[in-house]
Amino acid sequence: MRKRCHIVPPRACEDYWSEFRHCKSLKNCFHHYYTYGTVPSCQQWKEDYHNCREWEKHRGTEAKEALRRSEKIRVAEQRNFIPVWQLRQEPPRDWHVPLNQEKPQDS
Amino acid sequence: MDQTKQEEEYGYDLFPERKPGEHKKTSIAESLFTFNHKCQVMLQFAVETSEYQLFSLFLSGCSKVFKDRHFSCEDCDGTVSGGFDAASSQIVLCQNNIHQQSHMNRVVTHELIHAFDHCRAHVDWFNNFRHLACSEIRAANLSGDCSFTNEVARFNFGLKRHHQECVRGRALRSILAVRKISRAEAEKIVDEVFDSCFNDHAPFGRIPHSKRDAKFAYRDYMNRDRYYANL
Repeated sequence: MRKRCHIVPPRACEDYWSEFRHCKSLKNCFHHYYTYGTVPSCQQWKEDYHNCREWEKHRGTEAKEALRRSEKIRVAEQRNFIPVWQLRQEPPRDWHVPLNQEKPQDS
Repeated sequence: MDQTKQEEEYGYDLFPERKPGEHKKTSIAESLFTFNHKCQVMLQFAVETSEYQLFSLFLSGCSKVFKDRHFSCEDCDGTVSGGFDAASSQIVLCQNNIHQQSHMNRVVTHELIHAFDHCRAHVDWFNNFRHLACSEIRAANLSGDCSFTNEVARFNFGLKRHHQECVRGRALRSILAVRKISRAEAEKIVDEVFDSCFNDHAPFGRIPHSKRDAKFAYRDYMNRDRYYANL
C-alpha cells in the first residue's frame, strides 16, 4: 500500500530557485544550444519555486497540486524512451569475485 | 570458439595484455619500463575527484568500485584510451595512450558509465550490437567526451546541436574499433537506438555539462527518498 506523505514539497524550495538560476545562466544556455539547438525554457522552475513557497507558507492545496503535477511531468519526460535492454533485479554475480578464481556464468 | 577468433570478434586484440578468461599480474619490470606507474598515479587522482565519489554511489546494485579490483592499467594497441571488460568486470586504462590527468578523468567517467550499465541492466556486450551501441551513445553523451572544448581541441568546430553529432560519431567509432562489422551496418544500428539511448540520462537525470550539473545531480540523488515520497 502506498504511503501518502505530501507533508513537504518534493524538493526544498531553495532547490527550485537554484535550478531556475542555473537554468537561466549563460553557461547553461550555451550548453543547451550546443546540445539541442534551442535555448532552454526555465519558467517552470520559477513557477515551481513560487508554488513551493505558497505550499510552505499557506498550505494551499492548489499550489501543492500544481507543484506535484509539474514534478510528475518532469519524471515522465525523463522516462520518455523505450529502453533497449532489460533492467536487472540483482547486480551481476561476478562483480566482486576475485580475478584469479573461476567465475560463475553471468546471466 | 577458437581463442584467436574470439579475441578478434570481441575486440580483445586491441588489449594484447588481456586474454579472455585470463588474469595477469603486472611484474615489477613492467612497472618500471612502461607507463604503468604514471597510469596508477593518474588513476589515484581521478578516483579522488568528487565526480568519481559521486559516481561510485550511483553504481546501482554493484555497491562498490574498488580501484585495485575494477581498474587495470595496461598497454593497448592503436589509439584506444580504455575499455570495459565485462568478462572480468574490469575497466581497462591504456597507460600508453593516456598522458594527461584530464584525459584520465574523462576515460574513467566514460568507462564507469559502461560499468553502470553492466550493473543495472542485462547488457549482452558480446552478441547484441544494439546494447553495445546504446552504452557507447550514453558514454559519449554523459562523460564529457563531446564537450565544446574537447571538440574544438579535435578541430571539430560545430555549435548548434553539435553535441549530438559528436555523440553519434564517437559511438560509431567505438563500435567499429571493437567489432568486425561494416560502417553502414554500424551506422544503421546507432540510428536505430539513438533516440532511446541519447535520452537515457541515468544516473544523472540530466547531461552533466558542468560541475554545477554534477552537483545538482548529486543533490537530486541524495534527496530521492523525499522526492518520490512527496510526488
